[in-house]
Amino acid sequence: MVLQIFIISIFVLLLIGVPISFAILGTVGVLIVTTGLTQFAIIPTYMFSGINNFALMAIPFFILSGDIMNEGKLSESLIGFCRKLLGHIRGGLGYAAVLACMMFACLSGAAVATVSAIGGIMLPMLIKDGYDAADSTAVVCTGACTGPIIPPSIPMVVYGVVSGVSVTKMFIGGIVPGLIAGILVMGSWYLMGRKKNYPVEPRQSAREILRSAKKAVPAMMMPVIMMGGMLTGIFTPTEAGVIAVVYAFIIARFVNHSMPMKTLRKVMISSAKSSAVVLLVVGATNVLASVITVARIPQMIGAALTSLSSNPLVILCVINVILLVVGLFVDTIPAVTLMGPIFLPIITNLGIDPVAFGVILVFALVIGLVTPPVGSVLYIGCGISEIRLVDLLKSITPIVFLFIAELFLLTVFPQLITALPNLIIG
Amino acid sequence: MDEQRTTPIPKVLGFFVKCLENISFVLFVVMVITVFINVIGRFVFQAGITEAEELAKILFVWLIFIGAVLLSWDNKHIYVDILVNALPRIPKRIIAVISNLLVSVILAILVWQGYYFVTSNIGLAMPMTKIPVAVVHAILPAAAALMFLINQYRLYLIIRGRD
Repeated sequence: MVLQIFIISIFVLLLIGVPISFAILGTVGVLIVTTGLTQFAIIPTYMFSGINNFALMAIPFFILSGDIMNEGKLSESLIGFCRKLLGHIRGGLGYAAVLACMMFACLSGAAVATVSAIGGIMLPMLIKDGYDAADSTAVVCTGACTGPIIPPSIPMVVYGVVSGVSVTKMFIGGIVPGLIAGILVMGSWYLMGRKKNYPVEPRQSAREILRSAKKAVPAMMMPVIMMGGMLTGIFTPTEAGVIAVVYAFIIARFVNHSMPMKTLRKVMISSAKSSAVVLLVVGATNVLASVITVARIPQMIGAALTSLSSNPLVILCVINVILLVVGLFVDTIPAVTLMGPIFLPIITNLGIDPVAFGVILVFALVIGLVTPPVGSVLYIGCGISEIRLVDLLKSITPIVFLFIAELFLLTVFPQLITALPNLIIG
Repeated sequence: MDEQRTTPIPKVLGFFVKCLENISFVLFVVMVITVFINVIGRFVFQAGITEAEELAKILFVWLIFIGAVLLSWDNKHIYVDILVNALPRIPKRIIAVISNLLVSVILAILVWQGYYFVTSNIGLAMPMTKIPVAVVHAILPAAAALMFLINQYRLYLIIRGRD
């Protein structure tokens, strides 16, 4: 009964257009009134304590560093380097776009930031050079999906806080899945371009490549500093975030000369708002999670799942399907905060590694960013290249299926995720 | 998801919003500096400032709740708009009114319970910085109250058909 009330009220509230964080709090209200399990006083208490967390401070820092890098022209130097490096291959600009997405993913923890930063510059370039607009947008959108998978990653920070799993371990666990995803996108670009006569840029001299690499060094040093610091245990992900902010600001202001005070103010206010979007949802979900636990909802869903099968792999595959469906309708962060606390007890009972599950969960929900009806990356991509959604969907669907195949590959072989963090951190 | 429907701004409110933006800017800058100095301090002198982490957390929570008010003002809270956008004009407006009223109820609960959340902590101080707990907590009902007012303004705009 509690489960039905929970599902119906959250769906009704979301469908009539109540903002997600308020819909979550509203569901809590409905649960309190109908079951009497707890009191309204938990709402402000848990909302406040859900946000008041040092680890979560990594989120505004990663959002801000991404925005500063974008405004401060750090992404442009990355793109210049990728273009020089890969331009001489047939369809090279497309590979360069995917590589630039993956490199930006090492700096940013969100797919939306990646598609805006890289797509905003590279999509007009690709279309002007005569590449198929829909195909180009498809590879940039899916390439941008590596943003929250290759470290750093905002959804992983959220999952780490919700589940108590080491964020650093998850970050490293995301490296191999992120690389596989990038390679899949590049492979798709190769197949798309086979029958089309795409332009080839003249091969650049080694000196030319070196020169553009030198320009990109400040941007490329950043993941080295962040990951180096986290791996050696010198600083936490939050502190890595603050170092990224200061570093990006120094490069943008004093090296690229493109960060006057006025721009900085604008960037910081917009980052504060983007952070509020994410953290309000996290705070609201913290309230909901406490009610869900008292109402024993994870146990109910767990019982339903284990009645299907006793094989952990089968249950995990069912969970993947649920996550993919949720991802169709809900954005990544709210979905991570909602699904994390529900599935985590089930996962631990089955003896599945929570780090591996975290990466799988984030990966499954990130696929939702490039699937309609709710797919923010998809709409941004369409907006930049000015193409119709239908055309983009035709080009992007095969890549989405490749991502789904990778998701199940990761589910069957979680070693792909856990081997690297176990090797490095132990 | 976040279709832009910015609200027309009366002048006094415009000034108030600008103030909130400036406050969030300052909070954010101080927060970055505090955490950064703490990392450097720990790295160089092998000793972090214990007050710094607590202060940064307070600034962070305030930043988020002020950001939430600004989001309400911009109408940029994320919501699912597939069903609402598929509806014809009149039912769309009715649904908009209903969802607006529901948000108001939820915000009213936050203000009401937030008041007890603040008053029950009067007299207590944060362990490190000695800032009164009630002051730190006050941002929650304050932000909820501001969002409640903005929501009433938006309801008025919806009913007048100007949103």
